[in-house]
Amino acid sequence: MRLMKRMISLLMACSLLLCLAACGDNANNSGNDGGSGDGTGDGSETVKIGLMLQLSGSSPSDSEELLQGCQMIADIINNETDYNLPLAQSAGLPNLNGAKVEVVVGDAATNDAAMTECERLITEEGVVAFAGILGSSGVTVSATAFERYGVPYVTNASSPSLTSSGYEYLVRIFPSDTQYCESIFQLIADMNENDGANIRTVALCSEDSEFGVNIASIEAELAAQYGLEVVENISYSASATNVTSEVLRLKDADADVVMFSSYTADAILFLQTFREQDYYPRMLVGQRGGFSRNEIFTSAPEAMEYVYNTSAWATDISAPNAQLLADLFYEETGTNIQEGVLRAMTDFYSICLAINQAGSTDADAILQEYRNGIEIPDDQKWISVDIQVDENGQNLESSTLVLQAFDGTYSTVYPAESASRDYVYPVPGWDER
Amino acid sequence: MLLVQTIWEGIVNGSILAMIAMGIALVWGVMGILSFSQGEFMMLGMFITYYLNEYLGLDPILCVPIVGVIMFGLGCLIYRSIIAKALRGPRLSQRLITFAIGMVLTYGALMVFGGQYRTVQNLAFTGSIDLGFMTISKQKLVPLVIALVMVAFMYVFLNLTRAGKAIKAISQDKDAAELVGINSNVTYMVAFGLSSALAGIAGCAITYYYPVYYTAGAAFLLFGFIAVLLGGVGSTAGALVGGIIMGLTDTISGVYLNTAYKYLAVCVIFMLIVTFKPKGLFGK
Repeated sequence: MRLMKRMISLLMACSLLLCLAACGDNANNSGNDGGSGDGTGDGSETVKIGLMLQLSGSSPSDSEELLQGCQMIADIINNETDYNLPLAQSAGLPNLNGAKVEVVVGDAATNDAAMTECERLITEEGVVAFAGILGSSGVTVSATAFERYGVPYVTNASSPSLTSSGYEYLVRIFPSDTQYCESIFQLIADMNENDGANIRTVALCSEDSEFGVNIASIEAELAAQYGLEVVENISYSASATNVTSEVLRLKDADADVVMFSSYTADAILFLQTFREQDYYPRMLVGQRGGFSRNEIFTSAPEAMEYVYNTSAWATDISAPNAQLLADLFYEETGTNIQEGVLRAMTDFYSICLAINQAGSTDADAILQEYRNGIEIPDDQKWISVDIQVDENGQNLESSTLVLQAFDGTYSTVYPAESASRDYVYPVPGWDER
Repeated sequence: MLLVQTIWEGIVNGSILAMIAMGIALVWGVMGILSFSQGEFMMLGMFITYYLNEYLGLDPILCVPIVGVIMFGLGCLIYRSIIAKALRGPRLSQRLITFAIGMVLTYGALMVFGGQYRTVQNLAFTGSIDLGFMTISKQKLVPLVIALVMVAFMYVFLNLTRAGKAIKAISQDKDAAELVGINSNVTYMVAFGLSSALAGIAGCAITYYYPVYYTAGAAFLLFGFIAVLLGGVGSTAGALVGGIIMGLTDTISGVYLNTAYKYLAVCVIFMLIVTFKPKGLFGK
């Protein structure tokens, strides 16, 4: 009887381990359905592109969405479709004899794992370029591998230091934090000049990892440059279990504008605590991060109304296929596309375009195409900017938008030529919502 | 006025930490095991509350007894199937087994519930009460009341019930308790189940203002441990006092010194108390 019990326990433990292994395997290989990688030159050849995710790390839902989004793009490229998108109307990459694109997933649960996972994808999987969702510190760690092996890495991380560190194989299509921050200060200057908003004081509230610290430092510099007084500069831990003291300080400072750089849980916690303390800033700016996530609209719908955010993309921009891509993504995943996911999907798409344009998977040839400029016909664009990078890998054409939340979604309010709505300032307090 | 508000908020935040700390103190006091999975039990309580709210429309207050019963049962099951066996093994296994359980629960939650952030909607109590000199948040008042009710419940249970007295007897002298007929195995199971229920109810209470996600419990665990050590290991009353000291230190230092150093202030207070009262304020 005792032996039987032990056998049953052992069997249950083995089953659990097998289930876990199966799930992990599924996550790691879910992008590998495209082919064996044995090239025959007749269209069965595959081009492997690495996708660095955090499926078991700090951003599993973004990672899952990005994986689905990139697989959707790979499907569009690999099959003949009617969509008026680049590479969509032929099967595979035409300049590589119809070679198929394959997504190969690297799961970097922590930054420490990023380098080994990056190296594994290069040496064992044979990926020819990378896109992904890793933050600036994760990309910095991965650089040891992709620089050593000479494999292009197209990042959606926004730290300015990434493109000033002399990386040879790093490319960034979208703006740096400096550009994002500057756009909000330009809006404030316009509001003061054209609408007499009389915004004079700013409070900064940033989580204390590289993301928040970088942004806070840029915002403090820009505030001085634009003649605004920083009346409070709060640094806090993103894993805080309460932010009451932070909110009490913000309430006491009563700044005209409060600028956040936060992740999701802390952003939700701040909005909840504003409600508890019956306080709402006259202008609340979220610098992407948690303020760009879908969940924040469902978690704190009332508090999110009128929140400003910076962005590189929105569905209401003039690019003809912005809405198409958003719709396709919704059909595929059942969720609205988030700006951060769209950026990483665009990174992935641009790699496919660069490889096709180069007619080669050689790293230097791919980089050269980025420097020459990626050709996307105007009627096929889903982003509003062109792609042509400088010697540091930064896209020369990148630009930013300022959005404001209305009725549960963001609309572009600045710059004026891209705006689909007028901004609201000062925003209504709790009693007017 | 800001000082009054700050002290109030410190007490409210501390009472929530106290609920987690009480569970840790109970398991340590009775079984000598550090319950590293307490944060994950709290996270499970949050998810159960979320789904009860989502599908049955129950307010977290109404979820308290349901979550308490489910988590008590889960705690007993985990004790019977895993902890009881680990107790027969080496000391290190006993110490680390709850850590392993915590990891399994965390990644199990990620697999089952996904990595999205969720919040409980349609709460019975929202908004705030403006007293002029301070603002009382109804959303924080609910967790405070639940915490106080749980402290009272634990006091009554441990001092006035047969099972509670058995737990106290085992924690004081296991051999003597067994000699007078107390079944230590059952008592351990009840203590572990109670500790899981306390963590689950804490999770249920904080859904009133905190987002639900699979790593939500981890952030609270460290503060729960410090609260236990401040109050004195094995003392549930000490856990309450420890939690409130932590909440007050966190909030006061955040408002009057610098938010970046509030955890530093908590650790300095902890070091001072340990220096002058090595067993904590209520430790024996």
